[in-house]
Amino acid sequence: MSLQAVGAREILSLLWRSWTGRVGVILFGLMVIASIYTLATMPLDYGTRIWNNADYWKDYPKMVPPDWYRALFDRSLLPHTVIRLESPSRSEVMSYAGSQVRVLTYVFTYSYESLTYPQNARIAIYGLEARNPSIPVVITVSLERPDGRIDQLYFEIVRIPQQLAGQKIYTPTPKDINAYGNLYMAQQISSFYYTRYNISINPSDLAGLDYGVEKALFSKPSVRDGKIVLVPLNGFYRFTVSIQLTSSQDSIDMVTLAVLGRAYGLMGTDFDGRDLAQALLFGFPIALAIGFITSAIVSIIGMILGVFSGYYGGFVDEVVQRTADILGNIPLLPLLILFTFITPSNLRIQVLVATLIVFGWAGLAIIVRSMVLSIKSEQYVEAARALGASNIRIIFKHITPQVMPYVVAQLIFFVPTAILTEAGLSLLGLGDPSIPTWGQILSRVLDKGAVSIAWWWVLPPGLLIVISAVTFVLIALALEPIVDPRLRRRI
Amino acid sequence: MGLARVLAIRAITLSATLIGIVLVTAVILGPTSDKLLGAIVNEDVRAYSQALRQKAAGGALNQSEIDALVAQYRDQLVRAYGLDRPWYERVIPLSMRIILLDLGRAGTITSFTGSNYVRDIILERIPPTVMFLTTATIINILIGLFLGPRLAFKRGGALDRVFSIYSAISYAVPAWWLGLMMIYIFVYKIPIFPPPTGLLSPNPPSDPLGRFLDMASHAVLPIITFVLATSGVWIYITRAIVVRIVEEDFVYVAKAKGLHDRTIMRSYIMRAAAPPIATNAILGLAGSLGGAILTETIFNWPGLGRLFYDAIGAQELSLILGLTYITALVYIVARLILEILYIFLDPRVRY
Repeated sequence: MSLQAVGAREILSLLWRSWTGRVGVILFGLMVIASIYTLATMPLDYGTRIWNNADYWKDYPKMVPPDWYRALFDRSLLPHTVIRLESPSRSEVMSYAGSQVRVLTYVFTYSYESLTYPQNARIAIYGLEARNPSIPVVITVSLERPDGRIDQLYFEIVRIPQQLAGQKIYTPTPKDINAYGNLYMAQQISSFYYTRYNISINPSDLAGLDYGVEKALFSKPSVRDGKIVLVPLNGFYRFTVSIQLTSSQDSIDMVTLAVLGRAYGLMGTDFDGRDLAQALLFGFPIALAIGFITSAIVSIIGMILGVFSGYYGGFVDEVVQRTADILGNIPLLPLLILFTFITPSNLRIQVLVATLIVFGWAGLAIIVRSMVLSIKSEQYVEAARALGASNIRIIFKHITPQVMPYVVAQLIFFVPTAILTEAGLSLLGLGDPSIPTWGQILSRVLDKGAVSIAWWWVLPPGLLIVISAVTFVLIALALEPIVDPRLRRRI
Repeated sequence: MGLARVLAIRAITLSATLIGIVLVTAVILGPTSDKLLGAIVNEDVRAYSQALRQKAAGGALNQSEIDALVAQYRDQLVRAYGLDRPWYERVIPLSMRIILLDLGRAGTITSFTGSNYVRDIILERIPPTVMFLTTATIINILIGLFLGPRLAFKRGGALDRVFSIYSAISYAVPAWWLGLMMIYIFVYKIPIFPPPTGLLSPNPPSDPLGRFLDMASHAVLPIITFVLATSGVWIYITRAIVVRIVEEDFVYVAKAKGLHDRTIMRSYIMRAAAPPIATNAILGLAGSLGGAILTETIFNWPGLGRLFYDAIGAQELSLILGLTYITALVYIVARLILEILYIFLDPRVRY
């Protein structure tokens, strides 16, 4: 019995007929939607510009679970808060050292209602323009706490270099003031504690590991069992940031206050405070691209070589089949490790794809060849030849359409191979760190030894790798009747 | 054509493949080898000059004498490593040495006993790999042998469908990921198994039995993981082989003769299925001797796969070449064994 060429519509209806096909198609649809969304909303150089840019993630808490975990399972975790003020609460012009300068005041009101402390509190000043650098910029932060006021929580004089006069500085990297480890703040809080509660803590202790400035900010001291401890003090905290600029025309783009919480976003953050939801999303188009590009090229090469090898026979056949025999039997992973290891990291994905292509076509070529051998002796092929059809015409008109369904099924079956290989190599640290793939995320978990600590970090990337591989296997499974004519007869 | 001649031709082709693999690896590593070997030479020279200086502290040698000796030593090393010639001239002698099993010495990686001979390092990693991967592969083969024919015989049945999905998923689930999950669940969340500290616990018992039990308890989780992640493929392959034979005319004839199912299975089907199944089993066993790089890394298992990974990380040229050669050699030998085995298993193969 000869195979009938199968049209795209028939393939789709066949896919929908079995539950494996339906699940596969739905999952694949979701992957495509996620990829399109990612490509539409995230820049292509996301990896270098954002993911690996430590400055970008300073307002994010480090190693915290997703926010929904806080909402559902652990309400004691402090939520993450970022307050952005693009326009100042007050703008005055004052005279300073004989010239008119502008003073911008930003007031942040933060409500602290938790028993856990933030990881850090960070004030960041973006896009400052100083026209007269002979006068310094003066930054003052005062804090109104539920139990009193610290007039000068922070104070800094910043001299702007002359050559930056009139230019916008602190963009995109802001001028930041961090509570974590801040000795100046520690001194101020320490003296506040002493006057308000008559409890004395050495400022360097307050800034150290035992207490922590970010904790002291939101606590009152108390003596327990002869030891001084910090107790969370809930209520409203008003941070007033006042910035004295260098002329009356100077400006600031934005000032932000981030209170780094203990939970963040949809998927939590990693060791470097990076938003895992973003990287997981970015992994979709990359996985699909690596999978499909590799698989498509492998299938085309395998098909062409298989068809030619089977159709022409002789020397071509011998060379193709011997080569396929050797290539198909070489253990690929050691070679891939070797190749990617000696490649600069920004070219590793290309090398991976190229290696998979060079070694991957063998299996398909062998099977296509055997199919072509039987098709070529069919009567209609003989008839076409008798009618004077050229070899090329017979190949394209009569042979290729017959092997096509099988090639398509193999194409889909090969997609997970490429995805899993990239993930595996990334796991070994042989990926391209500038592109956040799922394997890259996992490899970082292992590096940091966080497997047993951060479930939100270790589970999702692995699951996505496995689900995407399962998706294509399920589709390939549903397409089996096309591949195996015996099963097809039964439908 | 005579049998011996065919086997001889096969042996020659396979040996050529082996030589090809070594040459290709040597060529790939060639351009980077200057740097790698240069680093080894520098390290050796540094150690040598330090030793000399210590000796010279008594006043036996003056500075210029030391310098001359160091320069002489460096020259000697450079020539020994062939660094005075471009890398492509080194490829052939290097490959020849490897092929003749003169694997040389490693730079920084040593065996557990302290030897830096590549041969010692590799030999010592074989038992752990056999204990983990070869065991797992044997279990896989047995599972395949047990289930494959049954599923093929009742193909399309409920059991067959369940296992076809299991096979598909097992193809998609990488062993290293499953390993990660198994460690996460069965070591950290429900501590049934010891943490993956390698072959033994940090403070292993000293009596032989206790040691063996400790080692076994460390091997169980990797083996379970590997079998779970890969047995589906074995079941699928064995089933596919048997299905092809079940549909053959001679099986229908046997059924028509009214033979018992078990007789048909044993004497008709399995006899014909033996050669391809043996092929897979032997190639699988041979492959298992190369180690499982990713799974061994996840489980911290000191096998050959892990060694390969370490060798690449430490840029150990001779170790990488040695491992590649040994893996290829095992594969080629397995292929040769198969060629001979075919003659006994398949009466049609008389060439």
